[in-house]
Amino acid sequence: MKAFWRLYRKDLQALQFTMLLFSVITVAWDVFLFTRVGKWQEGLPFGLSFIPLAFLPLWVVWDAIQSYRSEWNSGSIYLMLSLPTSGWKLALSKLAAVWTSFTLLSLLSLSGAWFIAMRETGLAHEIMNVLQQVPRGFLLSWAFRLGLAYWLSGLATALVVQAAYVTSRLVSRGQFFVLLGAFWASAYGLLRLGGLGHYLFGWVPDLEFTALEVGPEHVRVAETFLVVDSGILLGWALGLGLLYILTARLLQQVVEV
Amino acid sequence: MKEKQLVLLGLALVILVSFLDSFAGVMSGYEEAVQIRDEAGNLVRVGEDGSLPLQAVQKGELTGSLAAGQVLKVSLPMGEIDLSGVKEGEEGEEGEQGEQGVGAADAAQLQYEVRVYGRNKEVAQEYAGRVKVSLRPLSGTPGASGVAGTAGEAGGGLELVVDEPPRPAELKVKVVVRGTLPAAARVDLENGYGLVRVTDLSGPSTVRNGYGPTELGRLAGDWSVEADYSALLVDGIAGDLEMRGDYSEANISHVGGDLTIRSDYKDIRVADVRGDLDVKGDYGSLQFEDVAGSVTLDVGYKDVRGDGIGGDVRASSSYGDLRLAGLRRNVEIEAEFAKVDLGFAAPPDHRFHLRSRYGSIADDLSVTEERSAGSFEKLREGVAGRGQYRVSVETDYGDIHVWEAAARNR
Repeated sequence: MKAFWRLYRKDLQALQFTMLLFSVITVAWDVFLFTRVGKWQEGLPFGLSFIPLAFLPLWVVWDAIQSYRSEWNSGSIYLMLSLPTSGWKLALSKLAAVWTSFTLLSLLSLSGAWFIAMRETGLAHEIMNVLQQVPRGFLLSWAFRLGLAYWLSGLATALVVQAAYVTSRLVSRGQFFVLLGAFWASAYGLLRLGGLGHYLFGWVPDLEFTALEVGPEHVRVAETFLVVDSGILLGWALGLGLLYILTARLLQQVVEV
Repeated sequence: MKEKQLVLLGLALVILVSFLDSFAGVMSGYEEAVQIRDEAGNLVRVGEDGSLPLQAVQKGELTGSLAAGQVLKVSLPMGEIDLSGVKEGEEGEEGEQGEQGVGAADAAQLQYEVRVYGRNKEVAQEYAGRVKVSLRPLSGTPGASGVAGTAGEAGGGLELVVDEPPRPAELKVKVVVRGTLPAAARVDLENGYGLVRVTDLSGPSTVRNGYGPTELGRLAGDWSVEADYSALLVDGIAGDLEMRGDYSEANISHVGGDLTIRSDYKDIRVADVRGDLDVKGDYGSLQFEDVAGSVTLDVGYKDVRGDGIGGDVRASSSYGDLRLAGLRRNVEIEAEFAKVDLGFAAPPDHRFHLRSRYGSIADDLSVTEERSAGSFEKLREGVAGRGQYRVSVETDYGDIHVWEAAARNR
């Protein structure tokens, strides 16, 4: 595991520049929006403060590609592949580094949005009004679930993109097209495995979420449940697991430099 | 075959299959990806429009008496309100037999429907049977019996009350109220979601609609309308009209008094206002014609086109362009980035002061001359006719254009 942590630290350091760049842009954007509170339409600065969060998945795609591309560009790939380190550690360290970066930048973006929301006193008052009508437990569980879904989506994006990039490195020409093809094939594979998971894992209890009704009268927690097919989610998890294994295998046995 | 070639071949195969598969139910397994179920685990079936099916309806009729000037108050979280006024002597339903003191002239006759939507018919029907709809005197109305005072007595009125027992979460309820009132009656209507239509009634009255079309026509007195997310249609108000609402398109015509609009985000069209027009709002557009009185505009991002203004104009705008024609009297405009285009009814009788810091000034009237101003500033001043009225236009980056408007056929 020591080797893994060393690799993880190294990969995280390699992402320092992009993390810093995104952080600076996000903070500058949030500071600008902070100064617009009271001058622009109420709610507009708060709404625009979510732009970094919306942009982050694209940033993850870039980071995921860069995490491998920088190795090839700098020539350190030779050393990396010649090390007596298993492919799964190499793949996991890069995946973990990108995911860590995604997590930290998401937290930064959310913090900015929070500060702006608190500055917009009228909007904050309206939001609190709505939130006060919702039971705290319900609020916390939904916030946790939505946050978890967003967080895991970052992981999935990084995994798919890294697998596609490593696959593209199997050829010396037309790497971009192989990258696109691998990305397409991964997305298709996940889609199909999700559908298969519905049948294979039908015995697994589905995920239930209490629904929230927001109507003209008031906000209330309804006695109906949003039920999400857990088989599909397990199918996707299986597909992502297979992609990870493929990436590790390719790094260990197949990719030539 | 080397492992590398195997991987690439596999990749090519998957891509090929994906293209072929697109014709063969690629979404198989996702039919029940997300479902809505009740506590018992039963599937909640929704209609194609996403709404719950109608399962039960309770209908009824209510009658009451409303003297001239008295108010009918209706407040619904979700429903439809469709009320019209009936003048004395007009054809209408006769007063009901046995109701003392209630003549046809005072009669308020309402028909209501309580529509219950849900997935379980028995639950919906049982619930519909327990909803009570009644007309009660408004507090301050003379008489405890529910019969309003004699005709001519102002103040007080009736309130339509919907008594609902605690509602199961899976049910939705919509109340539809239709009927006729004495034409001299007033209303205080509030609807959270749905249609509101009012014709041939009196003011001062208030209509509030949270979401849905709002239609007003042939109304006497003053009216106040609050409508968000609504399409507002007004055709004929004898007195003043005050309109507030965001995200609402509005089409307002034939206002006998003053028209005040506070609205953002949607397009507004106004025609024929006998009094003053006062508009404040951002985004969307404003078009108006034939305003006999003065026009006051505070429109940050709203584009404005107006024609036929009988009184003074005072306007301020940030980015919304202003194009006003048929101007006759005083004009005072401040704009930042907006273009200002002013057409004056012939013959102009104005003193002009046109200043733009970074924009251009075009004078088709040929009555102004350039004056010295700061760097990058342009200033033109001049007098047309006797200079009885004053025109002052100041912009930062917007262009200014003044011209003579042809007479309109009214």
